[in-house]
Amino acid sequence: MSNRSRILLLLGLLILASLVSLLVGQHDISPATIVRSMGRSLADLGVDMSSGDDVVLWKIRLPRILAAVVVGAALSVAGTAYQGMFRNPLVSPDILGVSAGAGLGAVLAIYLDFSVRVTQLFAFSGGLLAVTLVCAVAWCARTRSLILALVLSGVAVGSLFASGISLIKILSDPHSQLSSITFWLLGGLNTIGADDVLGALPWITLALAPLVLLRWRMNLLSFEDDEARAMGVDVTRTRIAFIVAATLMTSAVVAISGVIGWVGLVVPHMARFLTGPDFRILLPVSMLSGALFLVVTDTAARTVAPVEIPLGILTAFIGVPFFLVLLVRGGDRR
Amino acid sequence: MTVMDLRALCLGYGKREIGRDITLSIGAGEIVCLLGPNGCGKTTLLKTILGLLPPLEGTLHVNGAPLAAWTRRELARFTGYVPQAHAAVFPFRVEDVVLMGRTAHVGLFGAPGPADRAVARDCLARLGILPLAGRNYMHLSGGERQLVIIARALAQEPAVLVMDEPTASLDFANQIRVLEHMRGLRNRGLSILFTTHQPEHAARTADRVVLMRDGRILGLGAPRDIMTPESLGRLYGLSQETVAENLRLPFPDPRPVSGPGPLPSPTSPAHTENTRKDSRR
Amino acid sequence: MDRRAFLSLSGALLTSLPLLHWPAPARAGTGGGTRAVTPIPAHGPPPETVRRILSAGPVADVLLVSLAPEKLIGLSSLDMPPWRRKYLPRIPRDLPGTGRLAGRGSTLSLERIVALRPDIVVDAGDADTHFISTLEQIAGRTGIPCVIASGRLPDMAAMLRDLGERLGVPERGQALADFTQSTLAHLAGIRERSRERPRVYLARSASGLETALGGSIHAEAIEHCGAINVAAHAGQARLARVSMEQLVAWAPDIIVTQSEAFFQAAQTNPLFQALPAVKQNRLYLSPSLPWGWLESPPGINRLLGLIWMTRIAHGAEFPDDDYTALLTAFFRLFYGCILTDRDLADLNAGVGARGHE
Repeated sequence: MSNRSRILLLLGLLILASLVSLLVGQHDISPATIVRSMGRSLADLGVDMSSGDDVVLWKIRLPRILAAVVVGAALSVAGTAYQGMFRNPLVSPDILGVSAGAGLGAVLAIYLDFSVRVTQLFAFSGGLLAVTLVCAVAWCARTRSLILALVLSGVAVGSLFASGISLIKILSDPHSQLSSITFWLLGGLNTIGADDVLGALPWITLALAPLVLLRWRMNLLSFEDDEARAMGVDVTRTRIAFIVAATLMTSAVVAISGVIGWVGLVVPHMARFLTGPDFRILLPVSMLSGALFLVVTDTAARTVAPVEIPLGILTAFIGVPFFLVLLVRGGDRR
Repeated sequence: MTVMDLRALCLGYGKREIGRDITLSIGAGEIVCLLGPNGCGKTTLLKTILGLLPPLEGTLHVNGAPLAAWTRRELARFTGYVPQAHAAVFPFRVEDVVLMGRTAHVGLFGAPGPADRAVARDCLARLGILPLAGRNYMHLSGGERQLVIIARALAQEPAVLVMDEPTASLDFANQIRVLEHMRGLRNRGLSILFTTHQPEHAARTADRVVLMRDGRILGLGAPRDIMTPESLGRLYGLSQETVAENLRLPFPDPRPVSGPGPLPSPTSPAHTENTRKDSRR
Repeated sequence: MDRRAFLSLSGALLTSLPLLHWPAPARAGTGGGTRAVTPIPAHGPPPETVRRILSAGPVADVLLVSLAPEKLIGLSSLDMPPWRRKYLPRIPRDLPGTGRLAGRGSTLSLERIVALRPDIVVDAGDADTHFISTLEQIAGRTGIPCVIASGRLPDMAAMLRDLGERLGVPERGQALADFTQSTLAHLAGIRERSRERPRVYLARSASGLETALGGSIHAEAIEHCGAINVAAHAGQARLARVSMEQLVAWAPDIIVTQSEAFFQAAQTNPLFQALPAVKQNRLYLSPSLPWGWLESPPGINRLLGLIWMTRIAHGAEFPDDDYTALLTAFFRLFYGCILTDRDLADLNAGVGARGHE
């Protein structure tokens, strides 16, 4: 199967999954109603806010599916980029402390009783702050291996921020804030609306640009730095561009969805399994696979039970066994 | 013509000096071998020549221009680097690995096109490993990997190849194969600078040998002139007898009276100290 | 790994997921045979010797401020902002914040407990095995007796009476118990006269998409006032997130919340504006002083929440005078605060102050 047909197949599956997802939900809407509603919306380009079906379909379900597509795609692309530039297939977007930083920001905002919007802003800045800190420390310690310095300071700063989260958990009101904090840290798309997705989208697009433009150079980063340099790549600058892009992307997504683990680790693997490691093809394939993966899991999260199953739990249920099998099988069959 | 010209070069990492007073020039179409014990500064010298490590003192001219004036991209089109055969992290196809050598020939935001792919396949063909093109690089043997990495460096279309122990950890047949390819490339006009721990490889392949110890050049010249049991003993800290006992060099007498050696002898002036003068003509 | 193994593995996991939806294990405290007060060890100290009482958590704070404020040597809340203190005139200004003891996240060390020299430590909540064993350990190590007071509304009168006796304040306990009993009876009468069984959604957190399921102590005021918790059948006795779509499907008659941030956001969010409850101005922000009325903490403060919820659910049978009289009586008796009309307005106690006018 050629790469083009693989991409088309994934795109087809994604569209199919989204359509199926559009048909199911807690609020019963018959397919006939959906088709009628689609026709009506196309005709006058508006949504009838007085009709419950229309509101659910266009204002709740569709934005949520869109959110799953965007969040899944962004996390996977970020994971693919991180794995490539760290030359390590077991790396996830959390490696530089994005999640811990975003988590601390969001938890602080919840603790201070701020609104959802402010919480998102805090999470976004928290993620960026954590990575900036990690990179600054690594830069000062770059005498040896920059990668090693990044990973070590990522672990340290990540656990520092995680302790901050624990501290706020202890200080928070156990009867109201603690549950919100827990739910946020488990991630979920239940609170996402169209405006949230639209808010995150410019950042994600901005971050995607360097990844697409430098897609070929990413391949060279999988060799030793000296080799890549000898082949004409400015390794440091390229790596910084990737770190900035992947971090921006992860932060923007985590801010609206909370911490959804394992997508950024598992999906790049699946994608590499499908097409091999060439970043030029890996990028679109892992984007589409990530979107597909999250549309499917989120549809399960919102339909299996009347209350939400936290998405982070669901992705971990699938991701952790996958990761363990990978660890046991080890070797090169990625 | 000189492709590399090092004068009174002082090398090292930051404040830590590794090599000193290194003067050496490499002409077009010659193979120069760096010979010396572990830690003598060979790798540091290679890194400096590749522009991966700034020289501490002295001057380093590449193709007539100071190294600092070269951009990384330009340098990659002049100098190709063949590191020691290594394991890869991701399962790239052999063809894609070789294609990566084309990076310096495509734009910053571009990717190699069909023409680049043709160059890559040609490089594989020149080394006789075109059948490996579709294989997973991670599944290759050490010898095959080394050839692939050479092909990747060739895809850069360089004038100079810098090879770090190209025969290390290869079996006997692959060692011979790699050395033969090196001679073949030289015959097509490429300059090669390589390091090795096996003096007989230097003797068989190099046009000139540089003896390096403690960051200084002990001697420089054609193998048959300079690779005496005496000088090698000094180089490795061994007695002359031990060297003579354990090493069979392809030239029976260090001072041959006459007759061609087993190797095609390089054209005369290129392998003596007056190379520089010669190249200025 | 090969694809088939991966698919079957993930398939098995997906099918096991509905387990998450299974009811939580039954709690000892929620059944019929609860004890309103559980002393540890079995016989507490003689009541007349109890002079210094330490509160172990926010729920016990509320209880002790009402029952024995003069004997309190520390509140678990580390800070007491002036706008809250205003309604709690009985609390001495210099009462230290001592931190939480047991339960989720302890911030009070055993050493500090001993240093504070309390005669008894009071905690509140469902007396389940884990909770009891935690306090047994603390009592064993410090030599200071503990007591757990049940947090449930129906146990409240008995609990106040019993605890009042154990803490050496039997008259106060009796007075509070009598008020509780008569109020519960009065509200039950209103509930019975009213035919209304409104379907209520409790919107928690700033997003409003977090709620309490059936039997949860957080939804007790809603369920006890004769309203139907729309999330009651979605699971048992825990907190959960729900989707906006589920909320639309539930279409509650009334939405109540204690989150100011959510209440503000709902005024502009078109999705919430489209909900029938919001359209009909039946989104209510619960008062939150001196403590939350509906929950947070889920203590005896929820009697106010029950009064407030009954007023919302059965307004026709619960005239304004009657309502404000009950509130005023509660504040006077429990918190020692004489409410003025101005205070009532400040508290946002009127249920007319809803949605958007």
